[in-house]
Amino acid sequence: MDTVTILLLTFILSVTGLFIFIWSLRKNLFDDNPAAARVIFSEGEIGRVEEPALTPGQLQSLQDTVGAHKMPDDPAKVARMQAELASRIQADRSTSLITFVFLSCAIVWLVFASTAGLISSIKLHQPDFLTSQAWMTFGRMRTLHLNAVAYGWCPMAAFGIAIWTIPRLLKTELVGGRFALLGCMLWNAGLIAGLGSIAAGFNSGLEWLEIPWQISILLVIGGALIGLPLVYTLQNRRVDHLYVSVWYMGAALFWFPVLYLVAKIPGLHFGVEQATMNWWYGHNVLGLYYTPIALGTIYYFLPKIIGRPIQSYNLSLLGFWALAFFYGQVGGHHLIGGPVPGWLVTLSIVQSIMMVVPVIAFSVNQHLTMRGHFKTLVYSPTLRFIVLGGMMYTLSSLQGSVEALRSVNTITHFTHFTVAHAHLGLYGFFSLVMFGAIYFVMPRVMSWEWPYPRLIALHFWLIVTGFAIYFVGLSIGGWLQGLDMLDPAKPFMDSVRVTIPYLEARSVGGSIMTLGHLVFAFHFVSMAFRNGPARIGPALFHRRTAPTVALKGA
Amino acid sequence: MAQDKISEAQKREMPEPSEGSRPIPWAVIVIVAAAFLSAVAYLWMTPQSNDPSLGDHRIAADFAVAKSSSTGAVDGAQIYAAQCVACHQANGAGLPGVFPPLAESEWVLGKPEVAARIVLHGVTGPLKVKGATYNGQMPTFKDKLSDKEIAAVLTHVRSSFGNKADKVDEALVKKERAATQSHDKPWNGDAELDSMR
Repeated sequence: MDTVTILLLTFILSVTGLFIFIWSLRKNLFDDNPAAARVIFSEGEIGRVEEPALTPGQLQSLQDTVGAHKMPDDPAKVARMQAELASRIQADRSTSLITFVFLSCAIVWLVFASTAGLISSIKLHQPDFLTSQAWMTFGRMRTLHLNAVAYGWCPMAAFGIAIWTIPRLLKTELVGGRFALLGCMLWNAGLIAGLGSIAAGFNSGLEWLEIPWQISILLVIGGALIGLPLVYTLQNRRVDHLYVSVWYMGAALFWFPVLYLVAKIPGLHFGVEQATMNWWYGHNVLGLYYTPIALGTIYYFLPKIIGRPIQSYNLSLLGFWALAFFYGQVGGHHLIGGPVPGWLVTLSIVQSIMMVVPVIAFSVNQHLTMRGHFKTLVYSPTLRFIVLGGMMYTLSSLQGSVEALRSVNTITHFTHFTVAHAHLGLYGFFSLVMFGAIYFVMPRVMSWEWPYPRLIALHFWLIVTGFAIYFVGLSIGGWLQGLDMLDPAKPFMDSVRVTIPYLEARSVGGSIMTLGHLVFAFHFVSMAFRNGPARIGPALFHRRTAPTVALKGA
Repeated sequence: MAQDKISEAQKREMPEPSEGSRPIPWAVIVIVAAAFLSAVAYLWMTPQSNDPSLGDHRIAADFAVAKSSSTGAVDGAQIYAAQCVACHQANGAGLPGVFPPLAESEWVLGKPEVAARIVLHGVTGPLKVKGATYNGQMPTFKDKLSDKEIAAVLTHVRSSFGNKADKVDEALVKKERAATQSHDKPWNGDAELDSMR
């Protein structure tokens, strides 16, 4: 048998096996207790829309578009509802400190990483900007940006949100939270040491894995410690049916330490295998760590905010298992044209095409859930972050599937188009979802309302405007750059010159995004220091009839 | 903090999310099937461009780099390619007005002691080669290359690019290194070197 036949048969067999596996899950063939999979609806309660960024008038409009839940009149139901509320408060109380620590670290790294990214961006069209020190040169500054995003902002936000969400969904308190705090400290110590060594010029030379392996030990141990509370909390759970967010977050917390450990084993990877491993890791850390956490976040917060169940358990199953199965082999499309076995690249292109399956499953599921509720987006910035982030997931994934095709990749490889695509995923999708989640979570962590609701809307519009300029400009510039590089009649420098206006556009967009992050950080710090107009109740419960202490006749 | 204040945010929330059990829409099933079929077609139609029989049949062992031992012979051409070729070029012609040539250069073909001193310490300042004056900078190699390596590269240069001069051995380079040990700067072009010829 030749390579193609073996590959084809393997592919058909394994995908068929996957679909049979999903179907059997649906039919509860693996359950010892089939009743457990029956969806247990939470009892109705007085639900109100959650939106810290609104005036009372707008809030009323939002409430009207959603409709309120009625207080049940059956006393047994009331009792169950009280029990649910009690378990929710218990879960929140056990996670508040840990989540606050993680999110605070996330904000610090967000500001640091955006600054490093902006400096790198400016250097590409102003080469003499900040070159007096070795650590400020492009090669190190860009690497600092990547690592501060990939191991600073993203994981800290992801861990914080996951640790806050999981106990709520398991209706229990967080068990083993101290491990997570210790892990957080080790992780940040490792990250600071790693960034320092990169700035000093010591790194492993592999993208996404630049931090030297001696320092990475801290990240591996830290990551594993942060994952421990998940295991203990799962053992302690008080629900039979695991909601889809738990699958995504649990899998991500398990996958990441494994990926990182394998990738960083010293003396194991050489030559072509090292390059293959490099992109196996580089793409999986996106697809099997950041992506599932953000998807789990959307699966939780979107129905939570609009008060409507996720429409299809079947689609959730299909989306999760297809992601887990197809994503692992996608990394090879970074090596198209490289000296790696052709069948490996072909397989990874095929799996990139198959990534359409989990993306469509997720997107349709969210769309069905939102259907008839899109009006809420008009009133709700928090929901806008999350829904827009979900849409960016669909976009960036479909773009990635197309980009993996050899015909398209010929043009886009080694250009800024790829950089724009990477940011659509990690910023447009992941970061936006995290912003939305943080806006929802923090009032419950701090027992304090967001002090300046208008800043939330300002943050939203700044980053959306900035990112739109960034993405559109860089995609056009990258595409033109690719066409010029392929044109043998043109000298190479033409392909560099053509990008300059688009690189300047990127710096403009990046500055606006960074400004948005500063607004966000300021707001976060204000809340931590209990600044702003003191409110006893939430911002939503403005009693419009309440007597004010303002001057008469004002 | 009072209990009621803590639960304020939690109280006003919607219920915890749950999942409905709608069937998978037909459109999704059609898209999944289409993706699967196109993937199979892609696998079937993509030519496997790298037929293993086209390779040069080298195995991993062929790529092993020989350990440099103090007894083994040193390849002067390899050192030239690594250290000299950037300026003096592969054909030893240099770059007119910038880097002096080695081909038929009076410095290369002259006393081997002088040639060895130049490689050991490098040159800065104006230097006349084949009637043209060059004002460049040649780096110092005394810490980079061993006596054996310098001897090998000099032998290579003196017998390539049309040059025909006799071999330089390790002992000569060793002697010159000892003789010029106190010298810590590159030679100052003709001013210092002319007298040695």
